[in-house]
Amino acid sequence: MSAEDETKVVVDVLVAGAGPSGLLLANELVRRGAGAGRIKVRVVDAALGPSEHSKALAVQLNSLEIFHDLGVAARALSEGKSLASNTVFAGKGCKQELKIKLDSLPGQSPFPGILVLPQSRTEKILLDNLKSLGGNVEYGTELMGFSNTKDGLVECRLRAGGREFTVLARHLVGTDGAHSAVRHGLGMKFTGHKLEGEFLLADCDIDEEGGGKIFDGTGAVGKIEGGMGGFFPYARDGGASWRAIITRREEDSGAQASLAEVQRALDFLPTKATARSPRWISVFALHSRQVESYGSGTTFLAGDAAHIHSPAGGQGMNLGLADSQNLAWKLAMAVQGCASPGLLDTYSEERHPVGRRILTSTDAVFAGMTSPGVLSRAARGILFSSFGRKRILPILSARAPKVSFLQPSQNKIAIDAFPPST
Amino acid sequence: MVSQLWVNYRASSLSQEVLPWKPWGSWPLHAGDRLPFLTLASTEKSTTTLDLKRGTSFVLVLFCSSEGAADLLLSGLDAAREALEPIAAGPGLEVSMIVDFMLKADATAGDLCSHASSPAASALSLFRVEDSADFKQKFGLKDGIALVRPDGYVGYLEALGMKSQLSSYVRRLTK
Repeated sequence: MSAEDETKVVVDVLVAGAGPSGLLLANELVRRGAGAGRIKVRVVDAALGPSEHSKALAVQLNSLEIFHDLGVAARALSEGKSLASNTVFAGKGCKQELKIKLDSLPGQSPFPGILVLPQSRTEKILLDNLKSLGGNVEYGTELMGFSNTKDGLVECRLRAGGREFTVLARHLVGTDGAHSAVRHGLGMKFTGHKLEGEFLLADCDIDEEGGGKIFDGTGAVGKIEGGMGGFFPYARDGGASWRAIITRREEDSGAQASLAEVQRALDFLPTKATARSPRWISVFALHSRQVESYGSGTTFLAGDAAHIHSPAGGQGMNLGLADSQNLAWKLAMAVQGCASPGLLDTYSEERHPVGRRILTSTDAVFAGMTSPGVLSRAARGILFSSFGRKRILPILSARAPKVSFLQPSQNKIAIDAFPPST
Repeated sequence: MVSQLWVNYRASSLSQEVLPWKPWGSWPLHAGDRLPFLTLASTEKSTTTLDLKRGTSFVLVLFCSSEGAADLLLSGLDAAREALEPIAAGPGLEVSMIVDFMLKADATAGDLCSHASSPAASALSLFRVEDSADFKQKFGLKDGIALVRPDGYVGYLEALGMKSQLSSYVRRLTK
């Protein structure tokens, strides 16, 4: 290295993006520091501070097991709310009603099926744990670009507070979301398509006349004009809140989102309820996209940077957390010099097919829930038939106690017949 | 709202298994699967496989259904530890034994080993399966070893009595 290079900082892993995937990756790397050698990790995020938005709400069982391994599951459980059931209303006037039990999977895991926890809380828990391990996040620090050096390092150009500087990293991981700068830098295609329609997400209060008929602390999903509307309770600082997830009407597309749209969706449910006190309203165009490789050698992608899909089923964040869990130990072994040359390649080899499967199945569920087509109507018809209730919904609801009790081989057959996804 | 417990890495190049031929059906547990959830009893307290695999190390799990099989597994443990040395020196290695038979109240792994002074047997945690039917259903195999990766998935699975490929598996990971 030249004298100039020596003034540059060298780290083992630069994590770009401090969302759930990036924070988990950093935690997993830093806590391995006590073993074969310290792993120097730097985490940067372009945002000026942690996000306060609730965004992803569903912490799936698999993620709770990852949190348990890290030692933060108890805190997540105490701050979140286990979703006991979800009622689906369909048919004319939403008269058909189907309750999907979502509590626990006895015999498979001690954790609840779905914990409803705002993403801001999930991030806070992971950030606090990272700090307790001696790590930190450099907010307001943007990755401007990067290139490979002839020594096999990645030269990362960063900007913070108007000042540009360079960090040399053995590995760069892009956990920087759907618009990933790392993915752009790699010139990787984000292959897929834009789904028709828009999603509206809102956090607000809901007053129900008579109280607790539908909005009783469990989830509710209803068939509404041109799509679906879902309502999920969660705990926030200073009280309870509802998350509304609504497919927008075509004529609202592109317009400013408003609470009136939430109200319109509420009016389809067989109860009298009023939405008020919106805390956050956001509109999402839906994409279903995935990179062809999650990376190899020096640079990797995880989470939304590698795959995005419809929020049906609340899979996205959980998929990203599992990406990081898979990558972390391999990266740690590589940094500590005890990995085979091919070990890091198995990250994409193992995680790409899982992402693919989630993409395909959430697409199908989203289309099935919203499309006015004959086939979708037929699919919904089957879903609400007794066969659907007994055999298909358990798989879709994933919670699927009956199905999950089966052994992996049988389970696989069931899943292949109808990919689990919502 | 899928739990994502269905995820497995059976097709991965990091999954390797040495299982006997099964005339019909298939083994429930394969290399690449999440280590099945089991409730375990130890001399100290009740625990689960989730806690067994907790942490950043690899975990070698010896599982068996008879004292005879326990003795055989333990007598092969020194060789297994030698094969796993690169992992022990890197991310770390823990060894646990799960037995599906009654144990004396204060039994240790050493008691199950005919060469009782074996240093290999002294440094492992011993657990008894709480629900025998659950164990049989989830593992299928009665006796064998499973190398659990730090992320909780079984990387290598070997039935007792099969020719070990553990060394080649470890080379694939580390060399």
